[in-house]
Amino acid sequence: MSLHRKKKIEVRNLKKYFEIAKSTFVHAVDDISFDIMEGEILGLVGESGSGKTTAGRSVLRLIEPDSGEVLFDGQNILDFDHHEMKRRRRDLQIIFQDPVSVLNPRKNVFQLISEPLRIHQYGGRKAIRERVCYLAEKVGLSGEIMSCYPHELDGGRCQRVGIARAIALDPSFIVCDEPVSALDVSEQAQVLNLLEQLSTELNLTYLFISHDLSVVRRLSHRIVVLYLGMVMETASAKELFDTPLHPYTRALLSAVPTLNIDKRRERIILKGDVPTPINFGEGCRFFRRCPQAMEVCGGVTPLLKEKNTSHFVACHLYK
Amino acid sequence: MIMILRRFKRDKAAVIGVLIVFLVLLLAVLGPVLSSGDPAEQNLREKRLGPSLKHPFGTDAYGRDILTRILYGARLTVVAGLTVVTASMIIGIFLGVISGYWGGLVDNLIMRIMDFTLSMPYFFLAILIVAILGPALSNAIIAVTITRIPQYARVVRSETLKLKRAGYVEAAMAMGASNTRIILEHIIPNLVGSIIVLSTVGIASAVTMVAALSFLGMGAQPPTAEWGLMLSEGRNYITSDPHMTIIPGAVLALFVLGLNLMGDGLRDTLDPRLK
Amino acid sequence: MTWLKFCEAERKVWSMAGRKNQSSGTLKYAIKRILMIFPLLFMIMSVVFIMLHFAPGDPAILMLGPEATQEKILHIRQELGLDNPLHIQYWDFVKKLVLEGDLGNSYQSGRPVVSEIARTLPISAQLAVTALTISIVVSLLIGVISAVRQYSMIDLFTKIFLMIGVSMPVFWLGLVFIVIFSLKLGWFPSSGWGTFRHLVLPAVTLAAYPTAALTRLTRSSMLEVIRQDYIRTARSKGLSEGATIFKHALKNAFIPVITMIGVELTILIGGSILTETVFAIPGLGRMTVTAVFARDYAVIRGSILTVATLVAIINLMVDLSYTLFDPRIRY
Repeated sequence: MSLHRKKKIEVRNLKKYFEIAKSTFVHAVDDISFDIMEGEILGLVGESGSGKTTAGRSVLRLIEPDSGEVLFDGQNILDFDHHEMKRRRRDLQIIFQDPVSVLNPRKNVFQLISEPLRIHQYGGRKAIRERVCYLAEKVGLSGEIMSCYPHELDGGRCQRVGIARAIALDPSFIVCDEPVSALDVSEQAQVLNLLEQLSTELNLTYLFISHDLSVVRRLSHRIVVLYLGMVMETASAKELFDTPLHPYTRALLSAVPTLNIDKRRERIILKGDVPTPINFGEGCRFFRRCPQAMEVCGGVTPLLKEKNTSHFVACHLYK
Repeated sequence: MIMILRRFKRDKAAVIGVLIVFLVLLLAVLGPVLSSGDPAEQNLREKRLGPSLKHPFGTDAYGRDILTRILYGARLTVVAGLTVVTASMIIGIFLGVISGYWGGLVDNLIMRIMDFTLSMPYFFLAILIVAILGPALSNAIIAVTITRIPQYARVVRSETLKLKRAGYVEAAMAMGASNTRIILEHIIPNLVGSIIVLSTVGIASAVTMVAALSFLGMGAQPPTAEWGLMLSEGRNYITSDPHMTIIPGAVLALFVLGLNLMGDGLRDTLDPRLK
Repeated sequence: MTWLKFCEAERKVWSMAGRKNQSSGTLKYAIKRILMIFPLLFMIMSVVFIMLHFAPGDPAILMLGPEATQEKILHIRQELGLDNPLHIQYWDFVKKLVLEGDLGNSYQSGRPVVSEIARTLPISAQLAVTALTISIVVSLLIGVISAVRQYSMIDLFTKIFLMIGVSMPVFWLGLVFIVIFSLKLGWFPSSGWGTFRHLVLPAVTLAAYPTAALTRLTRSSMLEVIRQDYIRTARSKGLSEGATIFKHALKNAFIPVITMIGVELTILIGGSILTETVFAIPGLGRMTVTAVFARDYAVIRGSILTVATLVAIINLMVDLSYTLFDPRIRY
């Protein structure tokens, strides 16, 4: 990995709160920051409720963040007006979790893939048809399914349609929101391979969101671990798996099945349930469930600090 | 599409309905052209005659041939029904989509207006509107249209609210689609099903209501040959020549029956239920 | 045997205890809804008033006839306040209504609108209630039988009858009845009001459509319920057919039927216009029609306000009645 690549995405102090009742806020995303280099695949991991989906949507402004910055190629997209944002959407795409529900059941595959092209006035009918054929081939779909409807296709193929739509306009950044969670194992492998292949071929940058660590490990260069809306640890994939620092990361990793007996870890079972991030005050989010909690953890929020090179952790154990 | 037609054909009652409707439509379009008579032609020597060879349905108080008048009336009835349904559908969809998609103040306002329209029985509202506009067939059509709009608006609104949250709508937004495009491409096409059902049922009651208004004297005015009006004119002679009032009404009833059969059949094929 | 009785008693106790909580929440809801009727009626009244203001025709001329002198016309207009600007007329109207309960006087007869309504409303109500009763009784009977004996001859005839009943225009049906039962057979009078015999034909005419609609609904609702699992369970427990039907099925099939009854009642109020015209019955509907032709805006206003109030009350009662039939619905 070249050290002189530019930063594609820089997220700074992103916050998104949801008001669910009078003066009661869910801190879905609470001051998170990370960078993604050009061509890099950044994995965003966390349990459900960790805020990873909200984070992914906020980065693309599908949900408007409450505060913070999202720099894309150096420009803060949160400052863009409506028209500029619409233009930029060509560059910033998303692949959704449920491959079927994102496809209009009344449209066939050709119409579905050509939709982004039509929205952004790609060109005339001939140009669109050529592009759609090219895209279909790129994602491994045969020409015969062009006239098929979503309910006639399996999950894997539907997701390929979704991927074709995402790359239709030559984006440089794609948020992959749990793209394989709804697929069976064989489909998962195929789609992951495809995503990896496209990343290199088309020089794509990914924010890869998942709750499944084994999937994330397969694809990501770097990983960010999220818990209740805050970053617990950030590191390269290899380092995170070899030397996890944060107790939460350790617990997560212990649950990942591995065939290598030497590398098998002690299963760390966390006590308690995952709370909802409502009206949180000070203190580490993981305090209640942390097996290594100390007194200071309840009162002071740990900051994200660089422990080793490019390995950041937010924990009072490491000062 | 073909599957739908095939299923429809199996429902015998529905097929009968379609036949009736088709017959009436045919008469409406071709009848006036084919028949020799003039609906307004009076022949006072031949007034109030019962059915005969020359006048298969008899004549009315002014000697006008009733069959001819019914044929012309068919045209009016069909046009009235179609106008009401089409207009209320378009306006209802428009209001419903705006209300459901944008919500907020606009939604509230539109819903308040709908509430007003629904606060009294349809017929009273129609009478009120005709009272303001004056008695005429066109005004009767307007009045009935207005009473129909809330039905469409409500259904469309609730469907729009549901569809707004569909995955493919979110995907379209993520691609940068404009609101107009989303509404036209994703929301409205998925509304079509519920609209069709409403419309088929709607034509029957629209037709009946317009005829009813004419019967009361608030719709078509003499000497127009309109079924409802013919009913009311014939009523004066009900003791001596009941055919003058019974026959136009029978034709109307038959037409409505056909529409209902067809509508039910359509509803059952499009939305299979246990019967 | 005793164990069964014990269960029943226990159930009764629990339901009474539950009902206490149920009624307090429902009571609040009921009060809220009743209070909400007033703003709604106010809005309706205002809209109707403004709408009628723009209607063509001069009530003064209509009252006095085309021969009237200019002087007389001006005099009447002044008396009725027809030359005042809209907001003054409106305010006067509201004041009179709220403070004195006075809806003004009929332009035709000069009598207070309130008394005109008081005269005609009971007649229409009688007609509507009779028709509704007929339709409920008949539809329940036929609907249930037809559902239970699905695919039988009874069911077939029912379906045909329903189809026809739903399609008949009410004004034509009335005329047909008059021709057959009044003119040809002489069993009933063809018009007028006063005796029981005057009531029969119009009530049956008016009841035709609601009966058909209700029967359809009862039938399909029963069919749906019968197919449910808990009916099979009840049957397998050994409950007799009759008990099964009445206790379990009917109660649950009733809920959509109640809504429809409410809807039908509102339709009946509207349908009364036509029936009253056909049978020359001095009810609210016919009075409204006459008022429209006479441009008697005072009567039109009063009549519409009355009808809107009735509709609102009916809707409220329907909503509240749900709590009786479905313990899941609570406010």
